[in-house]
Amino acid sequence: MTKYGVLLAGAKRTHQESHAEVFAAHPQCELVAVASEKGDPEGRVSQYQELADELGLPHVADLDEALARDDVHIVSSTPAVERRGIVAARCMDAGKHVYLDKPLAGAVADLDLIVSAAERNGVATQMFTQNRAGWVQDAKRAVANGAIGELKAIHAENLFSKGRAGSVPKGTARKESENLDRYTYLEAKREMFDVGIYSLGFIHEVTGGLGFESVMGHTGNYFFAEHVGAGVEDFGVMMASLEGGVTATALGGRFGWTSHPMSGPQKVVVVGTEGTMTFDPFALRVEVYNNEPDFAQPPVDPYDPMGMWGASHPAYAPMPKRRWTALRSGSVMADDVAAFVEAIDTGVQPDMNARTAASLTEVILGGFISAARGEEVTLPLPRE
Amino acid sequence: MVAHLEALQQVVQDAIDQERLGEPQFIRCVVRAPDERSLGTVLDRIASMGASWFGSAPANRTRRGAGSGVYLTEMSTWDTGQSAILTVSATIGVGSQGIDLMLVGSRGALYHQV
Repeated sequence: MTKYGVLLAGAKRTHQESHAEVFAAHPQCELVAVASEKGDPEGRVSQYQELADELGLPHVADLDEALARDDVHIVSSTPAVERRGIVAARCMDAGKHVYLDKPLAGAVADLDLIVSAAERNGVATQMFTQNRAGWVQDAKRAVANGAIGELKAIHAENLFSKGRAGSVPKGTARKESENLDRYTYLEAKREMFDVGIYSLGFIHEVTGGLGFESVMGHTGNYFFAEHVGAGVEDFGVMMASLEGGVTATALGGRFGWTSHPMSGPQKVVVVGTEGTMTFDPFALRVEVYNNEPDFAQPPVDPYDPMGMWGASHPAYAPMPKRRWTALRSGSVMADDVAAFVEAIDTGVQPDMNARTAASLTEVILGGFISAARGEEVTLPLPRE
Repeated sequence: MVAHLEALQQVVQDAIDQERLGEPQFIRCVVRAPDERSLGTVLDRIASMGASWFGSAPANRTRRGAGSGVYLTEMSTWDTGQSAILTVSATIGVGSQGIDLMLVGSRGALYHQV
């Protein structure tokens, strides 16, 4: 059994927290170090140190120095969106296999940088998605087996039930901008970008990888004052045309702790010439109503007001939602990482590799342009 | 279905009027139509319900699937920020609902599935 050393290129209060936990639990993987870029262009070197301290790992404040180590085979890459292109490409140019945070990057130039580095170096790359969830695989099999005849339309949604909704001033409407130069804030993330990528992943998986030919996007809705303050969307919708004339719609966003009995709605609906089917991870569930306290919103965590990461102190940790229990459980990320490690073992490039991930991320970037212009946008986007 | 939709429209409107959802912001609705001929009628009906809940007609409506004989999908947007994704299908549901509605407001969400 080949063992792989894993370098964590990402800080505390990023998805590296969960990536690290899953890689550490994999029998073929061993965490080696936490690495940040020299000069700290993200301005959060202390959060890298914090993660290293928590995991009992060394923090190497020079990514290139860490990449030169022979005991590093895999990099889990979760830097700020603005640094994802350059960091991922640097890891790939060092010959490392790279497990990539989603979405891949926030600019077409960065997407192209990652794809070219991945293909130039022949390393294994995979962006995290939730596509290995059993209910998504059920949908994929149904379409592939012809259970609905010929696929004509698909809807996918994924919303996160976190944050204190209702804080947005009444009557606030958002106007999108084409100038997407900032993604990283303490109190907010671009949520059609960050969560909508899961929905596009579902569409990719269930349709067998049909390409996106055009997209329309809308990001005018607001639920959170934090997003108003940062000027970024907390929710977005897209309608796209896929190869073969298939219509796709997708939702992604964050809509409040108390807006759903679990973690938030997830759903895929497929419409075919012979049938319509809905796939929902919470459809098969047990509901328990008793004299336990109902879920209540946690106090606002000053280091993480929207509840994006683990609570910075137990006082800010949300109480568990226990009314619903889905019959299916398991860790989607553990399955995703296991598939990535298997791909390295076998030399077979993962399906959600850099090129595929870039194409899906580009759909969202096209969705933003569409939302700003109020018109349909053809894909792929033009290059300068 | 007509009686069902009428009752649904009123109950949802009551929830909005009681400010249980905050400002209505988004609607996702997937509905099965009884047959191909009624696709447009059913879509217009739920689009009308949505406009009623939002208090005005959408500024833009984009429809796909016309001529497919199987489905219609519409994305609607309002200048005041709201949006809706509506799909009506005419093929037999396998494990799917006749009506699957999610209405998201600025402070909460409403679900209806049958």
